[in-house]
Amino acid sequence: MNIQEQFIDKYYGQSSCLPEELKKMLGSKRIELYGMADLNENFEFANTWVVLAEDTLTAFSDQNGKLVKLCEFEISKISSIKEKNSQSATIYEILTADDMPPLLTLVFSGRQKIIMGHLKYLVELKMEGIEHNKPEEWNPDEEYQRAILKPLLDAQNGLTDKKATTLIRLLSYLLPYKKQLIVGALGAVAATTVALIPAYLSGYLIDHVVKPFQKGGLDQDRAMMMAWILIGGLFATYVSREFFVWVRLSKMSILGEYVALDLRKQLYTHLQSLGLDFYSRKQTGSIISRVSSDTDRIWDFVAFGVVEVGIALVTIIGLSSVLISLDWRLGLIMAVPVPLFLLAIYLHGEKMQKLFIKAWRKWSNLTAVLADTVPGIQVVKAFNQEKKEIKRFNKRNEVVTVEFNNIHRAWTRFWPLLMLGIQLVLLSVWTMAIPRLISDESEVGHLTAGTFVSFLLYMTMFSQPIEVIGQMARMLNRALSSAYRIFEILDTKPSITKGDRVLSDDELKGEVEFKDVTFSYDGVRSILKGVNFKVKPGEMIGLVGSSGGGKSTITKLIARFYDVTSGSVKIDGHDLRELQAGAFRKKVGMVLQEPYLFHGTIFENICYGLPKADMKKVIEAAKIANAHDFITRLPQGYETVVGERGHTLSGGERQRVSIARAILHDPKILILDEATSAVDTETERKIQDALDKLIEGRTVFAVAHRLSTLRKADRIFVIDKGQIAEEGTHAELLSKEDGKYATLHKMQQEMSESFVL
Amino acid sequence: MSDVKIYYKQNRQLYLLKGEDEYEIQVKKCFPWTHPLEYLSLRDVEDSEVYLVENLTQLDAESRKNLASYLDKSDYIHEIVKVVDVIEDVELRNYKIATKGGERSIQTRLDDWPSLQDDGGVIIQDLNGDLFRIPTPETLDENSRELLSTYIS
Repeated sequence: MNIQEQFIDKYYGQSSCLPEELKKMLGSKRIELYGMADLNENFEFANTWVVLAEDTLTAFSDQNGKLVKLCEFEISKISSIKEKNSQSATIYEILTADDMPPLLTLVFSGRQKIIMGHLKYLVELKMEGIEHNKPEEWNPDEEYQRAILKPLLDAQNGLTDKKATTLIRLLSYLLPYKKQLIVGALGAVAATTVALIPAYLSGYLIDHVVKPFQKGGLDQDRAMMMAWILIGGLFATYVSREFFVWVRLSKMSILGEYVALDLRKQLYTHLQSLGLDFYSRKQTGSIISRVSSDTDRIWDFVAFGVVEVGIALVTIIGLSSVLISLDWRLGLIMAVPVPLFLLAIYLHGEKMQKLFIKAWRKWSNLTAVLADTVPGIQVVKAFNQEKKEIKRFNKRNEVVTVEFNNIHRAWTRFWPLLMLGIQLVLLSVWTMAIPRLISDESEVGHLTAGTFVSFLLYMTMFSQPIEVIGQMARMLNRALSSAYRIFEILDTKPSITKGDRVLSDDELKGEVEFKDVTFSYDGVRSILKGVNFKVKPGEMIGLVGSSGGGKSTITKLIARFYDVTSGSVKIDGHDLRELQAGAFRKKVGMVLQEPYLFHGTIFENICYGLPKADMKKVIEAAKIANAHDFITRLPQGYETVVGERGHTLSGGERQRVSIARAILHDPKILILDEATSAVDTETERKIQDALDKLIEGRTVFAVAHRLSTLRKADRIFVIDKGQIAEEGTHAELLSKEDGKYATLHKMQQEMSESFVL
Repeated sequence: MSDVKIYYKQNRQLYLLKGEDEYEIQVKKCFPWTHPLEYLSLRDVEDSEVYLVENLTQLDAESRKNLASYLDKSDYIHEIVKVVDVIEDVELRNYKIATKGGERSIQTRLDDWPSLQDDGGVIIQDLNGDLFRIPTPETLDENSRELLSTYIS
């Protein structure tokens, strides 16, 4: 059973793939994809497998534990698939004609929705006679498992390791620091062992010095000398214990920092190697928290958790052994209740966790008010809703306080009770010890005062390790949860295949060719479907068409943010997959709709990626980009620091800085993605003027909604539903009266005229 | 009384006849929780509204019956009759439940709490977006209520 199958079994309790008997029933037909309708028409949970095999669709249902063929029909018989959604289910009705009942009705929960959506998509492609280009590694079982597990794995951050594996992997980060670890661990063991000595010495002092002196068995000088030696021993013990504690703390805390440092380094380096597909799946906040707070939690666990738990275990075992060896009867009284105390702490921890969950829930209600009103304060004030918002906040604030008070009530009751329990054990020790203490020395079972004092001192050391062990489970879970989140990123493989060919400046002319390019973000739905074109070096191509048609996807493939699903993208005759992505991207310039400026000076932003660029070249680039004038008007000129996203500059100014950056990089291939759409007309003119200078001598792909911005394009591609619907010059496309481009142009003209009127 | 007709065809799809125009329709509720039988948006296959039913009483009896039959299905929410267990795992909470339609394990994120409805009902939305409803916690047995208490009280 692979890990996906284990997850399906653990969480869903259903079959992880099409049963073998059904595969046999389909005979030699090649199964392309299958799904499961896990509800019946009365919305009861059921198992109906639907299999697309070549040109037929077959459904099998579970009837009293036996799988029987429900129906089988050819795809050509389907006229349409109707989808209806309810709050807890989706219904597909597969129709053959309006005046006929459905061929098949499939009802399924959200768990099956992704795979059933894929299945519907493939069936609809077949209905249109289009063959689906599947990747070589296509496997229907894996597709099924991946689709139904996706929401779960997304929630669990792709966790596919067992807890023990993750713990071992986490601890393996300690290996490079074996020396520090051994020294730190020895320090911990030594500190714990040494801590056991004072109690023994105290007992010895009473039994072998004080008592013999009082009975006259020892003269005063000798007694004093022995006492001083023992006190000296106590002093040396305390000093050495603190020394060992220092060794342990200093080594382990620094070691923890190094482990966190390694994790952060590895994480950040790996993040830079991941493709855009990863970043589109993950939220920015989630990625940042893995690099910051999760590595911090790991530091805490490595620096203190690992050793604390180890020390606590050693202490408990050591103390129990010492106490039993000192006096087995009293020792057993102390040691036997320990598991009960541990259990009580564990149960208290469980209870506290529930209370914390409640409080956390109420707390998130409270912070939701803040998240609503702080960013929307202008609206709150404009509608005079301050009082209502204060009331809403106060109400939730009070509820939170009640929950936190419940938490305080719980722990303030528990710990005195636990301490009382420990003291009752102590009292039991006293009760058992007193008759033996005041018995005659010659009597069997007599207990010396010194042994008892040692006992009392050892007993005071019991509570702290008990508490640590009681909290161990939660500490471990927190650290493992962070480790899962970190390892998920480290285990994500870059989606871009590695090429090693680097084209020299002479070799790279800027010719771009798409050959039968198909591309899909999710592996099933094609965004580009067999796109073919060849662009000569220095040519400017306009990409127009409706949103979602595939224009930006074409530019992302050229910049090699993704690899094609099938077909190839060639640059000057070389398959892009053979080229080293980083070296190639240096020759591709991008000017995007929302330019991103890093925190730093304008100068640093212009020469980002070219740290050796000199001032003269930066100024020249800024001049060409129509940015020099506004930069020099700023009090600190090129050394003006722009905010995290360049907030101190207007949209048009930021755009011109990004154009200057592109000019300085001197790219062979330039991508302009709606570069002028977010600015006013005057600024647009300035940017357009800058772009006109930038595009000279380069191969340009310009995505634009406003057709007027493509007046200089040599050719225009109209992209529709993943294909090039029309291609030609502006004039050629306009001459096709019913063409998409001509229609679009007419609409934009009408809008422009109505605006003038 | 409205001049529209709502009816089913043989293919089990719902249709609207408005004047002389016939539309295959789906129905979306404007207020699914508070006014489920008012302001029903009838939408064509392109998902554009073709008619807004403000109140069922404006329809003739046959249309009302057909629309009600459609809503029976589109309204369906699993009803929880018992909570067998609630286990917290890495980043998610796993509820083992029994519904009127059978037993099921559903998962939510740790910070996705059951939501309390104005009528005292409780809604749990799982990771896949499916809704599971408890009419009121009092309808559950004591053990179920105890298991849920952390998340709903």
